[in-house]
Amino acid sequence: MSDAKSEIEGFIAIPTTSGEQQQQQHQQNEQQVVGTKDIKTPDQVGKKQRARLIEEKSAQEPNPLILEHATLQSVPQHMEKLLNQYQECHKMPAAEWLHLLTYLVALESGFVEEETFAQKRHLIEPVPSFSSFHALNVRLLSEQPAKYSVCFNDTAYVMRLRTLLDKHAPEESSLVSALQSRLMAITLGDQLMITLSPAPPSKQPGYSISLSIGRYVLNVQAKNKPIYHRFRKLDELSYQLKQHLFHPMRSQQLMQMDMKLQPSLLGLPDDLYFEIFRYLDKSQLNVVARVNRHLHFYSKEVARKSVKGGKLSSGFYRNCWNP
Amino acid sequence: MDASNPNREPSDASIIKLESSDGVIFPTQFRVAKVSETIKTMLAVSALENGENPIVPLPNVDAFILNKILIWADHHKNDDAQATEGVEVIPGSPPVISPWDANFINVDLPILFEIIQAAKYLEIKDLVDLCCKTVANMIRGKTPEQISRIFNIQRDLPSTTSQRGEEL
Repeated sequence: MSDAKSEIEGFIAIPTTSGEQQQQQHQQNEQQVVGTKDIKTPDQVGKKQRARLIEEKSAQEPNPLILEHATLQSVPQHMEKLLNQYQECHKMPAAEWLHLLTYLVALESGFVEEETFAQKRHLIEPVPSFSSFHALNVRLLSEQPAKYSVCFNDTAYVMRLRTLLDKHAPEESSLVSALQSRLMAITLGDQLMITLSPAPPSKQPGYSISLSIGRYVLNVQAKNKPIYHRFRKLDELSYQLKQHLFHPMRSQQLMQMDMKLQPSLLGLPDDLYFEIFRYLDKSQLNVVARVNRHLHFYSKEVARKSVKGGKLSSGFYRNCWNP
Repeated sequence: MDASNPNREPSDASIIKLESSDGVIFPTQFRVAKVSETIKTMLAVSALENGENPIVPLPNVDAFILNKILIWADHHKNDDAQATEGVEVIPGSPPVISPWDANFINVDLPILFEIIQAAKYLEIKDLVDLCCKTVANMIRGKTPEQISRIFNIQRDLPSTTSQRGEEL
């Protein structure tokens, strides 16, 4: 197979970025002598393609998009950018490194540090409420150092966060405060207790999680290795942080602002409820109706439409009304 | 002029560029991209206007989700569109999901819902179906308490209503 052809046959979706970034990425690729890595595709791609994929990837190694997919060989651009600013800080306690990783996950989840936001707000792109990861914003923000205060004899790290949304900065102060939160990480022995709470005076609940520091950050720094060689299990760490801190907080804030919360069973477009509920029978729909008002409404609608002989199949009709 | 004129359609192997909402460009084979009706239509229109090698902007899909969707599209690019037509849905019995699809869709909930929304916007019917089946499977056999916990939904019905389980 000629080179040109193999390029055309190339596997889909090797993300490239335009202009300057592409160049930059190219340089990075040249610097790193990289083993093959792939994010989550290996299990999902057929064997034939996998061979091609590996070939392809080693030729044009893209960095992973998010922390979850970082490997010892290659880390996302924003992680590299942030960590480059801390190259001289080998003495920093492991807990503080873990705190920095938490900050990276916060960036990926649509949060931003307040002071950095104030400086960069004119450059930040709006983030739609139905998603939270915005590659350009995250890369831009990671060029700034993480701004946080260290207290209690270097055992606690406090940071003020704000959530990015699609409409730029609501002007009313009550709305602004609904977007603010405090990220606090406290070292307790070998654990780091991380709490994300709404800015006072909000009475909304906060979220916290306790992480084993040694599980994610090794105590020793190997000589002549990048800092990220100390980090372990970043996929698990991202998952834990997103699942227990950042996603619930973002959902809560959006709810409070009365925005439709998209990435959830609530706030889907109408017809998707019909698409989902058509796989459920009457007793299951009754259960769904008891969850909350919103789902009550749609499960009733599904039943009503099926009477009119809408999109739903006759099987649905039978089960629903002549059980 | 008819936008869907087959002569205007790019060849299957030609590479088109998809741009995610956050500015990442994905060079993609037309064969893969055309599982999305939305992209197909946009290409037909832009081919008329701009000629060669168009970039298709997808302002509603971010890079992470688009990457995920393109993996699915690549796996399904040779599917027979007719195969899934007219299969009757039997409510209450778990719908059939292929092992590859099941593995593919085994993701965090927020990502699942982002994929649903994106697939809907891109008009990839089979992927929408896959997601909806998956959500339905998560609901099946659960109590209201479990559902509210799984999907992180706050319960707002008066307790009497939810106990009575108001009939449909």
